[in-house]
Amino acid sequence: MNFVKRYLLPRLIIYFLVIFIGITTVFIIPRLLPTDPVLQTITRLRAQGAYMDPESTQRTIETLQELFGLKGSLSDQYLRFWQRLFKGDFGPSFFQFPTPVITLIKQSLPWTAALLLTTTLVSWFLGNILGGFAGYFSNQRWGRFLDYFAMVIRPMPYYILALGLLILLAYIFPIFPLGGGYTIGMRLTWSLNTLLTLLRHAFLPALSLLLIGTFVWFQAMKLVVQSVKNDDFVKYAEAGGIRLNKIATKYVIKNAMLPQITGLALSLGQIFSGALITEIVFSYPGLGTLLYNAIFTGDYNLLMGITAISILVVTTSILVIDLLYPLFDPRVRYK
Amino acid sequence: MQMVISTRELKSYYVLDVFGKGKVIKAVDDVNIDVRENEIYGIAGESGCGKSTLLKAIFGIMDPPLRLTAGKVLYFHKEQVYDLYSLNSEARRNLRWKFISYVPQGSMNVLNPVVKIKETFKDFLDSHLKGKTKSQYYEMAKEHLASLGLPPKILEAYPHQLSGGMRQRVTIALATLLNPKIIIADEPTTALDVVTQRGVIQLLRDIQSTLMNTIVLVTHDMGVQATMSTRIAVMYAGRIIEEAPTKKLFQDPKHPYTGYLIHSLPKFGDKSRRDSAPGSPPSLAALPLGCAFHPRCPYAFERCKSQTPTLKSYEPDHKVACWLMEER
Repeated sequence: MNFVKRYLLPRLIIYFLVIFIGITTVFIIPRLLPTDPVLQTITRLRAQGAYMDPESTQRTIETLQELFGLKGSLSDQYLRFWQRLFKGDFGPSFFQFPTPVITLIKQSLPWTAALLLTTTLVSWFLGNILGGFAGYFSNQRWGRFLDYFAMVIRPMPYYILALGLLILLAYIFPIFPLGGGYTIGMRLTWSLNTLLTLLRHAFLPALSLLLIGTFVWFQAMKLVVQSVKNDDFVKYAEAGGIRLNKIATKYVIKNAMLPQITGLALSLGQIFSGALITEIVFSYPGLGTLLYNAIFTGDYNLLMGITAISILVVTTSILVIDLLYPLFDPRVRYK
Repeated sequence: MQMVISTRELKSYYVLDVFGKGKVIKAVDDVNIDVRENEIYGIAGESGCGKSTLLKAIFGIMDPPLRLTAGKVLYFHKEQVYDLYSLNSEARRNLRWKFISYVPQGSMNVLNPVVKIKETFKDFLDSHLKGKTKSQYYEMAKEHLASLGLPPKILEAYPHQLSGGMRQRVTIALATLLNPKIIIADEPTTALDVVTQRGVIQLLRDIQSTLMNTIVLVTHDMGVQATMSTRIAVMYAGRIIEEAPTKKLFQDPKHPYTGYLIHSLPKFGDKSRRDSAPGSPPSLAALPLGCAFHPRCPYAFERCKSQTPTLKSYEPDHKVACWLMEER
């Protein structure tokens, strides 16, 4: 119970406070912009040739203000903003008016989540395990080979690698499709065939992300391991004749993993801003393209929606890792 | 008496590469020691004289830039003689902990911080024994701690939850886990307060008197040497300069350096000023010619400046490396 009172409760209060402040900022910043989205919409409608008499113009303005949450005083707007937020309503998108923002996000999110969640987790595990062993057995040939490989892959600009993979595996050797999330005109149903098509389309984007991700973690882990393997407890275990594989896993990797766990929390949070370059190179659907279009067209309802969700996810993943961390490092166990 | 460990002309140097220029630090130079069964063999000397390096060479845990330059280390185990540096790593691993074990210097950080103490015990047992279950290993660890008079509940603790003294005792318990014939203890009481030091020394002595094994004790603390050791070797600048049974060494030190070491100890009722050896120890990278102690030695004469004295027996059981012995 002490744990709840002294650690969990303050930690939860901070968690909600961060979300509150973050989302409030999301509310304030667009309102500081000099552009008026209502006028913009009306101008756009007029430019398309629609004639409106002053009365209907006035009614349109009111309706739009209602839709965009711009009605009444600032405090009224703020209250209503929160009310709508709890219902998951971020208003309509400007860019694809009048589709609600939440519908757009719901369309893109599964693609991004499936692609990035898997690649982030898999590359974290692979990178840390390979980096751990390669760092500990640094004079083994396979370790050095991996190291050279990382030195080639890692500094390569991501879009070059992605394009290279695309050209090699989709154009020269057309094993994988050139782009898209699924075959055009295909119905997404629950069948093995659908699943295979989805996997085939996701393979190249996933491979490109995995390659870069794994070797980023690999190099970071290798550096940490190089300092941990000179620590007294590793030297002592070696002197004691403990088997080297056991030292590598239980003594070196288990200790070197600690900073990497924090890194994982941070990169999990980044998932929800999508992977723009991946999505563009492989014309893969996802949040990245959505966010890009939102910025490009000044669609701030959509921006607010994506940012709000991103804030929620980042803070939550950090909270979860914070609560799990003591399982990995007993020294930070909360009294 | 039966020998357990013996070194033959052991030389172990740090070979450094400083801005393209090779630099050799002679940390252990021409060391011949014979450690016998059932004794506590003390190695004394000031910081930086090569004590810890000697232990590393004896135990076979040398990491570059430290290298074995010449000489042999012999282990006498079960009627057989093993030449440590001609064994492969698996054979060496098999001798560890069963024949020779090690209590490291600075035991604050030698235990894996993210696992419980019992896990460390299990790993040490598991690596040297075979065909036992996890719970059997825990049980063995518990019995072992109880036999040393340590509370078995520390097995459930993490290293950071234990005091410095307790951690040192845990490493001693680990070192004695498989009843080795010889335990090498590198400054086991350094960084502990006097009360805890006493406890640790008592533990080591109890273990020695029950197991009748050998302890090689390295410490610069002459007080600890006097209470613990049966024989003492004094090291200076990488060489053994005097070796004698404790009582003899303290009553009749032959080498001027040993004399200074012993006279620097406070005595009850004696309030006179203590003399220390003048000057400071030489750098192991640039040793003076001849006897390394001659620039600080008040009795030095011509021969000391050009020739290095070797360790010779002048009385049974009393070896000295000093030209003064020849002049007499």
